[in-house]
Amino acid sequence: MSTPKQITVTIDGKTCTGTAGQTILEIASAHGIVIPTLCYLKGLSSWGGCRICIVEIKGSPKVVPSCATPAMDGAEIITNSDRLIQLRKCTLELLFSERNHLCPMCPYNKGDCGLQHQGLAHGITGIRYQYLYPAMPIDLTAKYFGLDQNRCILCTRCVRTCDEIEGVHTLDVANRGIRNQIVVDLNATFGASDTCTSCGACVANCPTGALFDKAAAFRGPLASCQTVLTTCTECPVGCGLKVFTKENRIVNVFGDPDSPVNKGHLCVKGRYETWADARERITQPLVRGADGQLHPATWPAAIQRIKDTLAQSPDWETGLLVSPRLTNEAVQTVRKLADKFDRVAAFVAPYEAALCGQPEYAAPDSLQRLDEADAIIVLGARPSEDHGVVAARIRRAVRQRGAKLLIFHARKSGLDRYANICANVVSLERSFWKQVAETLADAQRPVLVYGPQAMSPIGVTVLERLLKSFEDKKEGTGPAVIPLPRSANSLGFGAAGLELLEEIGPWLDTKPMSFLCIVASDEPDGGARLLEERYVRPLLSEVDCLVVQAAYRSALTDMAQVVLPAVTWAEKFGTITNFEGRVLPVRPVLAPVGEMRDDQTILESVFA
Amino acid sequence: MSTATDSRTILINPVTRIEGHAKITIHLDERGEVNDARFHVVEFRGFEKFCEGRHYTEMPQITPRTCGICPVSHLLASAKACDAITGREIPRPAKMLRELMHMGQIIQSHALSFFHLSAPDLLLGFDSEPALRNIVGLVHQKPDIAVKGVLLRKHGQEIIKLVGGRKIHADFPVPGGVNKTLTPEQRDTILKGMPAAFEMVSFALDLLKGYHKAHLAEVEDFGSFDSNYMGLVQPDGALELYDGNLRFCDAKGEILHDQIPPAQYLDYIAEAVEPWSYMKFPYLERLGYPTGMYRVGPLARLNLCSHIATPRANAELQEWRAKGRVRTSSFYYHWARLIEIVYALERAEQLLRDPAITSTDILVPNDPQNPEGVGIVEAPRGTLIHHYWVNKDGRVEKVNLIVSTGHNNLAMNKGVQHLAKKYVKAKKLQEGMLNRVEAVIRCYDPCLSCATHAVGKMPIAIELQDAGGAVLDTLRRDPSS
Amino acid sequence: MNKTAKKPAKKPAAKPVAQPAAATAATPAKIKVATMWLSGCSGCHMSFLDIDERILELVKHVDILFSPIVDIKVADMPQVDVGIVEGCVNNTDQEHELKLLRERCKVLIALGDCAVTGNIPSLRNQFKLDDVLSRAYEQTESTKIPIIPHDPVVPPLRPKAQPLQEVVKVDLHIPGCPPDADTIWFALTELLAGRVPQLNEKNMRYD
Repeated sequence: MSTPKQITVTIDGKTCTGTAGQTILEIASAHGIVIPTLCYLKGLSSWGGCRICIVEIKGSPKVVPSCATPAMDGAEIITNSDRLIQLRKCTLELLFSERNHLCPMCPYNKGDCGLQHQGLAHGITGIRYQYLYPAMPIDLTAKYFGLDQNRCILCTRCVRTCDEIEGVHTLDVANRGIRNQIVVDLNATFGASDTCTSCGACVANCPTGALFDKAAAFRGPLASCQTVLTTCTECPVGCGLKVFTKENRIVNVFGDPDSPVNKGHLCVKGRYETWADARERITQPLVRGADGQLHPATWPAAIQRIKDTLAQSPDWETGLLVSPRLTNEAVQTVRKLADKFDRVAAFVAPYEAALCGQPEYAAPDSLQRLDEADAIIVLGARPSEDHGVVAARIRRAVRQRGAKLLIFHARKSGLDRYANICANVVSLERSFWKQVAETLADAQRPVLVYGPQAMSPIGVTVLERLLKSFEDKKEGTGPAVIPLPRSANSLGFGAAGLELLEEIGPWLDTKPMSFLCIVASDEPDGGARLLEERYVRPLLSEVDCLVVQAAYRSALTDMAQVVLPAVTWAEKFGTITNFEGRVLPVRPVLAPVGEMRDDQTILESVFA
Repeated sequence: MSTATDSRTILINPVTRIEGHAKITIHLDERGEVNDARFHVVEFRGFEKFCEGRHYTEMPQITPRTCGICPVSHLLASAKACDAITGREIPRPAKMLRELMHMGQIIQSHALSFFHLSAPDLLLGFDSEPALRNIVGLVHQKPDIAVKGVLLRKHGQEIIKLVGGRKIHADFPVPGGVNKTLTPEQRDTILKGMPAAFEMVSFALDLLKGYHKAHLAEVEDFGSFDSNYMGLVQPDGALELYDGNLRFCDAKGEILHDQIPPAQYLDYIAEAVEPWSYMKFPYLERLGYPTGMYRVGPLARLNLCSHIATPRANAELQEWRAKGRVRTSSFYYHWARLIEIVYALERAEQLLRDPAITSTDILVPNDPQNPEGVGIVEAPRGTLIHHYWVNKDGRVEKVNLIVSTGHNNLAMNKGVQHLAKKYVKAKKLQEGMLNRVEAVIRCYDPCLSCATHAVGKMPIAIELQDAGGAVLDTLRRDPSS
Repeated sequence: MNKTAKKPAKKPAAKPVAQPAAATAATPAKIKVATMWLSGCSGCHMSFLDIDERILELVKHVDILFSPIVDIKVADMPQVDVGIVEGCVNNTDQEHELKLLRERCKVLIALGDCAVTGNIPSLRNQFKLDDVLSRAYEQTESTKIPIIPHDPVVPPLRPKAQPLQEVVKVDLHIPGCPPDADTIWFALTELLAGRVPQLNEKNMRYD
């Protein structure tokens, strides 16, 4: 590709250089010239519909939207003439008149609204048009956010975000003219939508209060918050988070636009489940008393209780079972203390152990490979359920670049509808595999993403068959093979050499365990998912002394003799290793309020 | 002006120097005796309907726009109703901060009522020049007193601003707590202003007690009648303005119903509508309408509480009750207001000296777990009730509001009747009698901004109607008279 | 009442407020002011009172002839220099009074969001008026003796609650719910000095 041509333009009398193909707005921004915008957002396609970014070009009687107009070499551009200011004011006044933009009752009214900002900046005190007062619907059926049409300016940022970033295209514009309205699917509600993934990217990109986060409403203007960058620990993708805090509370969580992993995008887990779900937090140690109830205790008392219990019964079989969410630093502590226990293990997803132990296959450019792929095979993984940001990349590949998608998984997933071939039951018939080969025939940059289920007997069979079909291709390279585990810090654990359990029942059962410490960390359900496995609950109830180290109360913590309060991701300091092998920082965004401590500190103080 | 005919109805329209607007009609019978007096509130906005469909977190932002004088009352009652919907107890520091903001409001609103709205009558005389019988006149004629009023109100407003971020329509209380902590510097600033504020209210108390002494007969029988009383009290019966449960007592101070949880208000209170007023008429359902009239507000609260939990205010209360346990004259509202300012200052100081007041533990989650919630506070003017119903998405389905001045509607009408019977004689309408009729309304400090969730208009004219309803005479004031 | 879109007006040059009648050498004549609140909450008037001690200075230059915070009952609205109105136009009585004030004043100021945009009271425009009245006076759970008020003494509601300028010409808008006391003070002192107050993001708010 030849280097793009350099061009020179004059903007408001200032000489500015850029490259051919850049828009006037891009060149202006690069030179510190501010042109007001509403519908433009870096990272989305330009729409040019709000007409706020209009500029004048000498020699032309028209005004043009600078966000959507390529700069022509030698052009003389004016951004702030009287005429432009008047036109912008007219446009803003028309926007104010069209719907019910009532600042007093909006959660974004303290400096977080683009429309309010432009109105004030243009000195608009009243409008010259009649207010229409249309009766506009308010959709509150989504769990985490709402859509108030009264406050919408039809900038279509949400439509473009949902289409171009999340890749589902749930939102679009219906009707015509004054009846234009943002709709969900075919005029459904969010609650009834079967395409919306609740990623919340539309809300993050909405310039007004039309799309708003329920859990954040009126809890602090974003303009008044501090921000901390950290890493999400809900899954092994390791998206960068930009957390807005105020007075030691989380006001909202958005993606970190500078993270090379997710580039500002999040899925529902990182965007909302990290902070917007109400959970019962354990704030101090709890010890079960003679009355059979759990009572608050001091750290020394709780630690002493454990030590006394262990000292009384030195012959007890002891175990330590940890969550795969632990940071690398906590994992090191577990390794260090491993010899204090008869058995030490981490619990992972079914068939995941094989994936965890493969740091050598992790490639730092896995996501980049996905972004360039023209054929994607997903085997034994469900990114749409477990790794939302990866699913978004796959959908974009299919919808924007026409990439081929093949899915092999026993269970249905949200990605199935985008696939060329989707097989829940794998056939061994020749015709099926011929079809697979044909679909992959022209692939120049194929990618094979495989999850834990690929390590099941059937999965391994299919994996081998797929790899073979690539070998049979006459030309082209083999696929980039990307292991995609489910557990958050799987690669960190894999490197530590701990035993990885896909089922804990048999582990508990091999020899009766008398003392077990479960480090649930900040598992969102307090570790209760362990109880879903068959026989685990009765086996655990036979443990003489069960200690649970967790952030949230659950059915598991309720079974314990001693509960030790752990910090959450928001209070942790350390690193995790994502599925690409990147070591990513986890930084505390809050100071813990209460007696909570981090996992390694607890383990050391109790067992060291 | 007035013509001599058989019977007339006098219409006072608008009643100035109350928040909101109203007309008063006085109906005379064939003999020229006062037959009836009606207090008409002439506006309506429709909060109970147009809130439907909104996300319920917006209710503490929408409902304070009912009233710019006591927006804090609505902020708090609304937030409490929303808390009930979340099904969660808010953290103690949040409760303290809300109560502190409320104390600020009591101070500012009662100061406004006393100095700006009622003092002109007391200090310049009921019969003084109308053009000057107002805050501006007070500023000209008694500037040092006017300044005290301005500064006392300012102290209350400053508390509201420092705690809540804004003097009028702050966005501070939210479902689940409050959204702003109080810094140690802000706390110290408020504490510094306390001594001066105490001094100003003491001055006002001396002024008012002096007036009582000098006009004994008048103050004891000013819109005076027996009624039931309603208000919030603490578990031990002490005066309570932010939290607590409902108590109803009768004209003698005997308790009718006690410690009623706010959620059960519908078991006791019903509302009637009259075709001639946009303000509804709450009444005690068991006693029927209009027998079930009751009063709320400072007079009622001091009548039904057993004591006040802070020392100086409690001492003032004992003095207030010197002539009898229950005060029935509407004039005692003014004194009661000043005592409540003393309580608010003392209580604010207590809260400020508690180290938890600067805590950051001020919020719990706001997801709705219950389909409805009731929030009740004692606004400056009386009991304020917010009741919302939501669906599982947090969408507001229904709203019921009973605002403070509404509870006093029957009583205000009765007060006007009482005074009209006393002062409106024969067929002559005199300036002074009209002032007194208006003045009795002002005792209730009605906030008609709230009461119809509406505001009335200015100016008031007085209309005299005969028994058949025909307007025989209207009385209006020229600026010169 | 129904304003169609006008051509965008050029920003007016600062024009002096019409001066009152000739004053004596010692005491210049005061500016005559009338204030009104229509369908609002009185918060804008309360925000005005939040100028606190500055009111003592203000009343040296300004005569408030007519206002909810003073005690004048007049047969007719007096002639004034400046009219300040908060609240939107919600019922027929208010419409009448607003038009009367417009006739009797030289400069009319719309104070606060209700007067400027319609604001919260305008939310009722999205519902049928009958439904709004019925909910309040017939359906609310505490209302046991229901009827829709209809006596001639209570003025009927207009089809829509509207901001002032959809009924009369407005000379100055001061948005805010309420506008800050400092903004109101600034606007008044600018007018007293004969200038049109310039409002922008530094001294204006919409919430």
